[in-house]
Amino acid sequence: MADSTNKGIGRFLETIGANIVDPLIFLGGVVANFPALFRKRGLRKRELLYYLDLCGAKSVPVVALICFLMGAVLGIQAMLQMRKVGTDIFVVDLVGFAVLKEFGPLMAAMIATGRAASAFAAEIGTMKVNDEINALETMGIPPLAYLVYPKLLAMLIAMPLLTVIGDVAGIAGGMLVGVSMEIPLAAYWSRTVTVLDFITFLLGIGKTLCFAVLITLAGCFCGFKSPPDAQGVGRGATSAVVASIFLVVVADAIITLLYSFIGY
Amino acid sequence: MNERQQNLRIGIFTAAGLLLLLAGLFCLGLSDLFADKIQLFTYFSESVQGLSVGSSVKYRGVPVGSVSKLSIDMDSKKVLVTMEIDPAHFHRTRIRTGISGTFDNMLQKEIKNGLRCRLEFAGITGMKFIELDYFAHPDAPINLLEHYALVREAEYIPSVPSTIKDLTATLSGALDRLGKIRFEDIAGELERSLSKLSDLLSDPAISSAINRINEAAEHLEAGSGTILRVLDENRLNRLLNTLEKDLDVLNNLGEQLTRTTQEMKLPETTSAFRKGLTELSEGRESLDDTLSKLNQTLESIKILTDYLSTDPSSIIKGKKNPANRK
Repeated sequence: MADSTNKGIGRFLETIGANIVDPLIFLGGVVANFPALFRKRGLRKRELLYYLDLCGAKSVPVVALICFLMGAVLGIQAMLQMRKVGTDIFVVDLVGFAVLKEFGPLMAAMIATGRAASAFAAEIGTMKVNDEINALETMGIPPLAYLVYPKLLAMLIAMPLLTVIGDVAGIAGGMLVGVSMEIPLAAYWSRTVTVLDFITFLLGIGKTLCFAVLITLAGCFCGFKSPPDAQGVGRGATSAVVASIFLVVVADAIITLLYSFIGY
Repeated sequence: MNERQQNLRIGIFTAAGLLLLLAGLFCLGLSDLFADKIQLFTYFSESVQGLSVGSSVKYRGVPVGSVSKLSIDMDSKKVLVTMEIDPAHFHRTRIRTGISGTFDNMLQKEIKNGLRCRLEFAGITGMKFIELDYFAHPDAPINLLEHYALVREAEYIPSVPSTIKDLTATLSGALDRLGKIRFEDIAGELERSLSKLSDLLSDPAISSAINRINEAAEHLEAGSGTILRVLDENRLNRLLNTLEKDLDVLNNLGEQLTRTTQEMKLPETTSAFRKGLTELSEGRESLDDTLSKLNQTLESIKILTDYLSTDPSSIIKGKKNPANRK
């Protein structure tokens, strides 16, 4: 009886260690390796460009398409309801604010999660299988700085730009629906620039910096923690996507709450 | 080649993202930060529920600025609303100088012409905006504020109560007046009146009168039916035609009569007639005298005749002396 209780407590502590303490240790290691960035050849520019291309440039079509469709869907649903009470023009407000504050950043983050987090986890997991991480340590190259920072920097650059493109596409989607449902284009545009303000736009983009950090760290952490075998790499990639989505949604809720304190 | 393509993709992505970012910032109001704004303020003595920082300020429906601050003046217990107006919306100001001093002068002049602030509803959502319009009569008195010094960097525009406040005040007054009506007394009076009316209606005399009225109405109905039968449309038309012809004849007659009267020279004839009458009257008087004298003569003849009858010899002997006769 006492043995089973002790084993239960032990498993609980292991779970805590695996889910809370280990990520914190990983985070601490990343922060501790920050000065390594400023050493000679600290930041690998070729890697940075590669990840910028992978997570940014190659994600543009899908982010733009998804945000455009999301804006259009929002516009249609809002129009169907608001037309009943003769408030068609408020569709502009709903689409504008929903896209700038939530859907633009979230859709960009979701696409980045699918493309980047899984790729990061799989890449690092494969390196681990091939003992490349150990080789780096043997050569005196800190793996955290060498592998994480190019990805993180690329994501910090790509995510805001993807969000801007997503925002524009989303508003364009809503505008297409509005115009097709007899709101004049000039009226839609005028209403958009009247009700939306640049602070809302910037706060939405600001969210994505946080998302970029969370997606990168979750992907890299799952890669480093994946078992050194083929199945482990697959599980690591899956875990990276799940953890990234969870963290992004929780962070979005917290940031939205914080924004509400300043009136946004 | 792959590296070139990768760099091109990254370049296009970064350039497009940055351009869209800048365009978005400027379209969504970043340029307003560099615009020359003029601060105005006003006081509202009513609730500003629905008004918030960023709410529109419109001049005759044209958005010219926004609300920049809402606060409460604890001395006057009024809501102080500070607004930011873009003078570029006022073309005359912009064309002439673009200097806020000119705008201030124009504003002072317009306030004298009746320019006031009023809260208006922006649709059915309960949101409000501030409308600037000429709600007051020109040269209406302006309530100067004691607390002007607190916000003297901004221009003051007086406010007028909103339509809803006016409506509420009117409704409140109407309800007060309604509350003063003694409904219970009226109801009692009404009940008594109805009771009396009921008694009156149950009176046999009234019933009899009603029956008679009914009978009279039936007779009237029968009479009208008869009239309708007698006076059908054709007959009525014939009658009307005849009547019309008769009226024409009468008119002609009247005209002829008028002409004849005019031809008769009635005034002259009347005058001559009057003169004749006067003369006739005078002749009558002479005739009266003549007749009177004739009467006397006849009486004398009669006396003579009587005397002669009594004493025919007297015609020869003459009249006897009365003393001799005895």
